[in-house]
Amino acid sequence: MRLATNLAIIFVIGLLIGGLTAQFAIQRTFGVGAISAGVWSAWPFVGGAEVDPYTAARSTVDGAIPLGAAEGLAFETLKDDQGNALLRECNYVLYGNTPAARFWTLTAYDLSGNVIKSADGTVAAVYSGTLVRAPDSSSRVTVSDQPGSGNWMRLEGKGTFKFVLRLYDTPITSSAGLSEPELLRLQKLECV
Amino acid sequence: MKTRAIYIGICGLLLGAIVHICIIFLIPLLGEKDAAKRIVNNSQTNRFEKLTASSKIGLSNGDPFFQLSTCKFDLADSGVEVTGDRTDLFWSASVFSSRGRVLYSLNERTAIGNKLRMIVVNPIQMASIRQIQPEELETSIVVETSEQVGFIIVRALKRDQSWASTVDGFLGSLQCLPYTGQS
Repeated sequence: MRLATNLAIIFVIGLLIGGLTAQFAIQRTFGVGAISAGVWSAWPFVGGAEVDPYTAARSTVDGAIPLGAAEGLAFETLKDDQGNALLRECNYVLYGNTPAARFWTLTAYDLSGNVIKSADGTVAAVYSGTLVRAPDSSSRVTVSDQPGSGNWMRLEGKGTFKFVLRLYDTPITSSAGLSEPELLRLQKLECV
Repeated sequence: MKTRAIYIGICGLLLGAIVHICIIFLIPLLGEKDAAKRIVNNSQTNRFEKLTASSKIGLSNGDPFFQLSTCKFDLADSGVEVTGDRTDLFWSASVFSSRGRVLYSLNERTAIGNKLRMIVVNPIQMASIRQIQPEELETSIVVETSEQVGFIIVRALKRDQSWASTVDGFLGSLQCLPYTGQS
């Protein structure tokens, strides 16, 4: 009887620890196989032949089609620069420069990986080619459910979300440039 | 009593480590959401198919500014030749293995003359087209792989709605045909 209780306790501890650490290792937006720049992380080897088991598991759960090295690199973040989780009820501003690339896109996704759409069907995404830029070529995008001046991304609803910044045709995918790139800063404004 | 608790704790941790490793390694084998698995299982060989949320393959996490088209290939009998019309759009293409690894990727600036023309072959077919030396070899990008089954994904940039017809035209012009080198 005592042996059975011991075994049961061992089993519960083992399954809990194993399951939770596995989930944590896959879901967090940093760690094995990732490169990070500020709050942004990317998995440049996600589509590669020599992919590590964690990145492979993560891309399966993600269900996404990875970008090849000649296509681009996708960075994502769940947090703003202060380390707070991104919330759809808050307004944000993204500003600064991005690494050399033909163009980039910035998209907001819910945590199950669907692009966020507002009630009138507007997609929460911006394309760098249609942005207004500062004289030093930096850009500034306001994210809010209310229209604002300058570049504006409409984001409605409630709950956590993530930003994905995809740089297309960028030299940073070649390993020579994998030292920390400079990406958009992400600051929280007021919340409703 | 105390030693027993420590003993149980250590055994639990060891089991936890084993469970952790098993889960990480089993996800790619058993996962159903995997994009590569869905494409390989749900699409026809040698036919381009647009990837939309409503199609049989389904698609998540896609960039809303891009339209994707995919074609599954099987190199058992012959290679595959992928061609597309010349266009002003930004497009990129990747060759994937059936497990979703990128074997080769290119974009319209790295393609020869900005035109999509790519031949995917296995090493034996490669040797035979080297002997035949077909003319199209000079204007094609040849990708050699030992994977038998895989797929190609072509992405085209749709900046806004006004580009929709150009993008549809380009993706509609894509062809994915068996290739042997003999015309």
